[in-house]
Amino acid sequence: MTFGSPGILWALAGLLPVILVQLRAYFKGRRDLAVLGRQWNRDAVQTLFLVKWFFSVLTFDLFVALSIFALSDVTWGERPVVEDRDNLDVVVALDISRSMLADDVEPSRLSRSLAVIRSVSRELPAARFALVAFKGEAVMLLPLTEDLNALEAVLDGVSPQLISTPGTDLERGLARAIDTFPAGTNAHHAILLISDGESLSGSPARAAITARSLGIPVLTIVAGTLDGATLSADDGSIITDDEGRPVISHAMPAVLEGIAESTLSVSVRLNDLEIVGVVVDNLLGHVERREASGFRLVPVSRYPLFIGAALIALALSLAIRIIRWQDMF
Amino acid sequence: MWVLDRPAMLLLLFLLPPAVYVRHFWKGRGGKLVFPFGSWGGDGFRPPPTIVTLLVGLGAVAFWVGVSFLIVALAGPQRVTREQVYITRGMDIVIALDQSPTMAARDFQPANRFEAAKEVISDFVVSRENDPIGLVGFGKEASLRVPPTLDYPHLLNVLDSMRILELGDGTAIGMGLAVAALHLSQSTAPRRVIILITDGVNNAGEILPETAAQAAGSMGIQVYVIGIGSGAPVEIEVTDPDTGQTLRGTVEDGFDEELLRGVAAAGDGAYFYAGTNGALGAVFEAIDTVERVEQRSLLRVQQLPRFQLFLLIGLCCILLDFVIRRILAQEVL
Repeated sequence: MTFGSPGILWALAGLLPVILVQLRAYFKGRRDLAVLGRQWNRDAVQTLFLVKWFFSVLTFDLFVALSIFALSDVTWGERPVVEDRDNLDVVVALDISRSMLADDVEPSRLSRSLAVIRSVSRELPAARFALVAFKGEAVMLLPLTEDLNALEAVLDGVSPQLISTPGTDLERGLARAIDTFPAGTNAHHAILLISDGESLSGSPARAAITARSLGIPVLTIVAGTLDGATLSADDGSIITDDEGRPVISHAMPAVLEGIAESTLSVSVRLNDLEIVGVVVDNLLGHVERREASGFRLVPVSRYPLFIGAALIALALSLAIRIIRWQDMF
Repeated sequence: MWVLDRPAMLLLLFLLPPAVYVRHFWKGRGGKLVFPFGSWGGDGFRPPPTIVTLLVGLGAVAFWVGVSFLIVALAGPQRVTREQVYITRGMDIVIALDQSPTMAARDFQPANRFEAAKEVISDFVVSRENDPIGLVGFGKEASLRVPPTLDYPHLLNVLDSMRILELGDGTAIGMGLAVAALHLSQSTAPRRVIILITDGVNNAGEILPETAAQAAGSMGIQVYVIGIGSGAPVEIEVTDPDTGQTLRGTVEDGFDEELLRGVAAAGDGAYFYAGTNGALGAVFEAIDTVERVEQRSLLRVQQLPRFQLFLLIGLCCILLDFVIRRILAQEVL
């Protein structure tokens, strides 16, 4: 089971205030009925109220929970869809923030990333490549092209100074990468996202949802280690925080793994010795899986089940409240 | 265009009127205590309208609107887009454009040769489909501006940003051709073409135009050469992009037509002379007509689910009713 929009599941926390309001209504109802019920059968009214309140609350809360699950786009299983595609278009979205200069991956996260891009492009000569660099902003450095000479030339000039906007916005990088695929092409699309995972602004999950809806797998490369490394300023000194302690940049694989998982791809580590082979195999794997008999397997969204169940729960909640029980309440 | 994946689910909307009746108008409904306040056979007691009763009414409307939205979400609303996709590989074209100062000569409309060439190239790019097009600029140096790509909007943006003198004072025709050929060398396109546009003689660069054209020809790349300019003395006005200084003068020398014919011949292409805007446009139209490869395409239909929007609106409406009834109206059940 996977979720197209897993972040929406946080809305389940909203059930807590709903339940508190319902509990408050229950105790208020008990007090009110104690006053009014003196003329009737007090105990029977209280018992009936408790039963009706409990089941109506249970079904209403179930309705809210099922609706939230439906909103999060629950999927399980796969179904084939006809898709006759050819070749492979890869947009590389490369984080060029200052933290990519950390040397916990030799010689630095950025240098190693550039080397991996070069190697992957040589391993896939029939593919077309584009390059998007991002920090606080995202810029397309190279449009989608078969021209590997141009890719090499652009990679030679990549550095954090290319973009002046500070920060790291994975969402912008991914969104720009998605926009880089030109319309009207019949190639398989894939995004290769290389970053240390530090996203200081934006919502990477939102861009991942868009990629998923367009059937674009985002293969992520985690640049850096969990232990991290210090960062150097332009003058070679170690960057420190306000209290004079060295700033250490850690890789944050969870963000990148989440993006890869939600787009049905994989996440790999930049310091993996077999990284080029793994990336190439996975990119080709997407193509081979899709080209089998001209079909592509897509996850089956199960939201109708959840909306249907939510509507039934809501109807039950209504029915419990409006059907008179024991000719009393 | 919007469609529904399960339109039959909309039949559930027919259940709403009886449900509205049972919830709001049925006298035998439960969940409330009824006290007789009216006289026998007369009208019952009705409280005067207040903000709370109005809000309760609004909540009831929101509730049923919300349920309707949930039913529409259950019906599977989808946005359908149709996209024409090409299943064949187009031809690769690289346009090599002269950025030397003489391109500022004012014998072409609207401003000069360079702007006229940019306009015609822009029209040419827009007229192509599925053919990757690249752009090389050359002056004293030569530089790839855009590799062969189908991203025409990006290409047109770069073309628009190109300025005279950006690549120095000179005309390195051979370098321009060589750079264009280099970036077509790995292409797998069925046809590869260079369109060279210049108004001058080769006076810079380390590669002779004929040599570059022969190299291109040996790789199977066809070279079309367009010589532009009226040939008569003509005023120029150009602003140096580095200093911002405006330079004025008169151009008396035309291009080396014999050299350009030789380049076209070496590149197995053709030479064209364009002395006016109209002629330049006609040359590009001719190339556009001749240089075509068979294109096959299909219409791809993509369905993007939009149930989340309807579901979210529906859920918010129902929760609004919940808040009004439980918090404002103090309903206990």
